[in-house]
Amino acid sequence: MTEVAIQARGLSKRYMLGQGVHRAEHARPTLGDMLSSTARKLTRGTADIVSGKKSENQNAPREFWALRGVDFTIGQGEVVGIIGRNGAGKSTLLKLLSRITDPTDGQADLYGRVGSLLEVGTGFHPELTGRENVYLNGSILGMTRSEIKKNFDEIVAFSEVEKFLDTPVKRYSSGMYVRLAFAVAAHLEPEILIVDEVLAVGDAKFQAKCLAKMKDVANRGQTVLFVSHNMGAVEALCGRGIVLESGKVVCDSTAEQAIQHYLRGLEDNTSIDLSQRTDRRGSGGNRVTSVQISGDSTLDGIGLRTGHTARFTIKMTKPIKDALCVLTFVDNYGQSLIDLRSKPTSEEDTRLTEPTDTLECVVDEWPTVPGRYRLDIEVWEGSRIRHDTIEGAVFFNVAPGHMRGRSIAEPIRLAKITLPHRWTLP
Amino acid sequence: MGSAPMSLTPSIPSGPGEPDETQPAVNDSDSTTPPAAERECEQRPTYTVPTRKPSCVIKPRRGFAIDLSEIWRFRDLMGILVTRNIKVRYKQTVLGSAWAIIQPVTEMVVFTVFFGMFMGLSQKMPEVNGRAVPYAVFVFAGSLVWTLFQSSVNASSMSLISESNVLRKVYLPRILLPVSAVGTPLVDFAVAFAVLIVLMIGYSQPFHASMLLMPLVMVGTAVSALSIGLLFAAVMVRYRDVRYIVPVVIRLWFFVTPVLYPVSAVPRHYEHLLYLNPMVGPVEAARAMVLGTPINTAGWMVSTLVGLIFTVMAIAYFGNVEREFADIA
Repeated sequence: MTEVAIQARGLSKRYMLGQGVHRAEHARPTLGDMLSSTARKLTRGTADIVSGKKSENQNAPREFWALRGVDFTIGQGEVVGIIGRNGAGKSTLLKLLSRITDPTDGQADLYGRVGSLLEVGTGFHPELTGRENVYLNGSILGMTRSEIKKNFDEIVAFSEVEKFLDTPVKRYSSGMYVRLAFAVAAHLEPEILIVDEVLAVGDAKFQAKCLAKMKDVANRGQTVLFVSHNMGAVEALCGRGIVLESGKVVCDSTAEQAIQHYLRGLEDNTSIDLSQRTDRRGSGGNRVTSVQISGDSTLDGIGLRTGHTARFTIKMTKPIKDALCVLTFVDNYGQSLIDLRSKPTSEEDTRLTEPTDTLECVVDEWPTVPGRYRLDIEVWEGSRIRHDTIEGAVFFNVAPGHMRGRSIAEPIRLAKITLPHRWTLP
Repeated sequence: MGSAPMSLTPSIPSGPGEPDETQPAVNDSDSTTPPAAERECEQRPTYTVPTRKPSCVIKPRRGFAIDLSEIWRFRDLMGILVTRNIKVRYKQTVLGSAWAIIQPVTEMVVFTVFFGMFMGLSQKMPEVNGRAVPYAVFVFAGSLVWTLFQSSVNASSMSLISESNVLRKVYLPRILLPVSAVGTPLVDFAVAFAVLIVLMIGYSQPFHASMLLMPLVMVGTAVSALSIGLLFAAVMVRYRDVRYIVPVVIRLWFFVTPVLYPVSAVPRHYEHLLYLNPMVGPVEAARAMVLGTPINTAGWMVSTLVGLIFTVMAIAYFGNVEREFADIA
């Protein structure tokens, strides 16, 4: 039996688009915007010429529900990962729970002091010294002066910037800056800790340290809400996972199951129709019409993970017997990493006895580290006629996984490939 | 997975100490159990709602939303923001805090040369004990108060947009930002006041007991300035245009306030109207204290009252729009 720490009922947040009221990713609203919206009401179309947009988008302010009817109960001491795609409502949820913005509807009851960390180093002032910024940042995050004083030595030790404490932080390297900022935040001792994606910063060693610190926080019985795209971190830290999709809770379960649910959701997008693509080269005698990427079938078809099975299914317009299919995997720096060719054949291939319009390429242990990759596809007949080349046929994500039981998380350096290997005593 | 107690109705409040062993059993044998795939996304432990009140309830707020007790809880932050503003001020300057003296002194010299000498305002100075008041002292006493007003309005109206990152990423009572912005002008005021005393000694001006009332002038001016700053700041979050309006308003305001010239330069007919400007009372009162002339108490009261009305309106407006700041900053 667990005491409730957070209970959310029907939590909803609406933004109005096209009215200048939503958090403006675009231009700041000016009086001109206001005037033009008035003008729009008077003479439809005038403003459309100015803004160059169609009137149906502009006349009525469009609603956007960043969150809609979110219910959950989180017990004290639970460590919950909030996962979901960009725009699923994760950050909005954290903002509501940390009181930065009000919900449009619904309610959340919080039992215990809340500390929220939506950004590392909020309020750091570049001209102030490290020491001064510890106090500034600490108090902005909700610590009292005496709490900061009490933890000061620990914060400094954790940040490893002792020597530069009296240097303005604008002279810090970005690593030092982040270390100091995280150190302050890590010593915030709330009963409910809300953390957004902060581990995406710093070098690998420091990230590990941050993870350890967060684990420590969780072990002390504090309630933690943790938003991350790093499935490895969520898996390592959280006992429970909540998946948000379009502002709604679609899965609330163990972290492992939530991650699978999330990755499965990603996979829905990976069967890509290529028949409409015109940016292709080749004779056109045969065309790739679709490609589907799917993961480990034994795990109920989740998305790709490092070290797990990956399947690439290529459909073509014409069945051919002698097709040569080339899959090229390119990393986000444009560097080609891997070429997989259906010719020459191997003994493990399925023998083609008659023409087929679908080929599947199976990789048992997917070798790239987590990240985003591009797939280029080429189709040849024999080795002479190139029927089709389609660059960037699909972009896909690889999630952290295991290579022969060794956990592979986010890449540390630029290296993109990992291999099955062992470390032994010689 | 079956080891954890399951409950499909996790939010049912059961009192502390109430036995809950029966609940999982009931649920496990429930015939309406959803299909396995769905259920695996539903399992949670049993929760009890604490009997104590939630420490924080998040729900849509309507109307005025400033909580005074909360501002008190954030007083440490307030102090730290004020000291930050002061510290940051003269960082990476050679002359450092000497600027707090150089600025008002230069201004006074410019005013004295151009307005006092070239335009002959020093000839129109009121006489005290049969002696014309030195224009430098006259103008410095007024500009001291005016500068406090002007820099407070500037600093507090810019405070929200210059801290928009803080607005979007942490919760704090937003009113702390414009309020703490007034700290630096207050410190500058104290420095300039010391300069004034030196100046008075230099011109061998007598000191008067009424100068002890100067803190009242200071507080009144700061409060009036803050009210204008709050309004500007709140509107500026949504309409950045205000940023360019503020300097124009301040400039105009400067000319309708008798800083460079004595009130006697204004036609008698308008003198009463003059005090509806919340800055006229404090400027005139400060000057009267320095020069030893009688204070126009009624005028000062009128100005203060107008300033307080502005303040109430500004706080009411700020409290009503505060909740939107994070979404539009």
